[in-house]
Amino acid sequence: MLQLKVNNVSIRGISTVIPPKELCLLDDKTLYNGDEKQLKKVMKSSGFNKRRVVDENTTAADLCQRAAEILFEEMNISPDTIDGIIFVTQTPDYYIPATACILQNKLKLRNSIFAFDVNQGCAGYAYGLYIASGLINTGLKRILLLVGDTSSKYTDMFRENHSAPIFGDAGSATLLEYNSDNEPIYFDIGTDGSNYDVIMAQNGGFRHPVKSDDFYTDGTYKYNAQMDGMRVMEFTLDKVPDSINDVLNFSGIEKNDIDYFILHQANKFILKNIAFNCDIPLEKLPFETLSKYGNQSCTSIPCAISDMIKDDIMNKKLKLLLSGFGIGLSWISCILETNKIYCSGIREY
Amino acid sequence: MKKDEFLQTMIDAIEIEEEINENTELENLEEWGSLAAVTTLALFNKFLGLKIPASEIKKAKTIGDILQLGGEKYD
Repeated sequence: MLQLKVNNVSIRGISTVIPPKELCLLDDKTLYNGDEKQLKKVMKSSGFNKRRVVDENTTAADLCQRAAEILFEEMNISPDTIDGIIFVTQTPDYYIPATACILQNKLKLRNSIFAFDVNQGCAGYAYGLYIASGLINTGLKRILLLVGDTSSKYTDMFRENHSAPIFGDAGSATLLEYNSDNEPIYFDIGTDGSNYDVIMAQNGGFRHPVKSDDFYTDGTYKYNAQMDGMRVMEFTLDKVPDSINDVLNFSGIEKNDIDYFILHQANKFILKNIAFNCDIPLEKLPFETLSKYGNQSCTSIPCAISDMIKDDIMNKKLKLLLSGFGIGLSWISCILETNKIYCSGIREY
Repeated sequence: MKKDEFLQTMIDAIEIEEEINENTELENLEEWGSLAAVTTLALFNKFLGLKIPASEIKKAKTIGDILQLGGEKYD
């Protein structure tokens, strides 16, 4: 796969925001046509239980804006010092313009900065780190990386077959800075577009434009969102363990020296299998976040950090291996070091 | 790894409680399903170094059909 080493970058702070509304799978009596035994079986193996969802007026950009404001306030960072903003999302405010431009204004950043969106899903946070760390080395001091999604709005993925909805919404803000003293960040990246249809929303783009018969009777739009569970699991078991081992080999860092493996919170079954395949002890590969907040797409990694290792990341030097994988199909693993950085923990919008 | 050791590893990983053998039909096995199939793919990968497509496991009708996927990789 594509392997890169990027110097001169450090993460200074991470903040994460979730909506206040909580849904619990057991409260929905329509799932699996009312078969609670089947639902509990799925909950046990997948680990999903609760999730947070936005109301109809809140977008991923709103959650990310709040996360950035918390970061600025609590780290005492002036918005004027930000040289660029990257917004990673698959649920932007509009097709055009890029939501990053709107956020530049809302966050009162300078005009003399770059701003763009990145369309990436579960691999999105690590992708954002890769892009931002590369751009820092073009002569910039600070980049604000906003990563967020409101995937709960793709309801038709689950309503057609009454299966358990698993997506939770969240937004995050990460501050990256130029730092010549920091350890390099190592990346391992791969793409397989031949399996683009494993996870997708078919309708609404320009291949299948919006048409009048693509609406449910309640007025909601039918994205024709789909996810082939078996093929997803096949993909993760095929690519992710290799990506984790490859980035370790590339970096020369021993597996035992990694403090935490923070993976995209896909589901408990997948994460346990990856841990098993890679001989990673489960205490170093946490997955409790997914049961509390659902599969948060690109935001699952920063939320997992905020939720499960906040105290450690604020008080210790840590070597982390992050791995995001999913829609695309895309996968990206990275190894980085943090040194007692700011972390907001999980905050409510 | 020997074939019977692989079978025992499968039994433990999928948490199969009843007595099974190579003739056991998968459709009669309560613990068999898509998660058990994916778990088995992971076992082939880890213990035999084999990456078997999900489509191959889907064709299996018996425990014996699954074990055959290990081919010559057993000790």
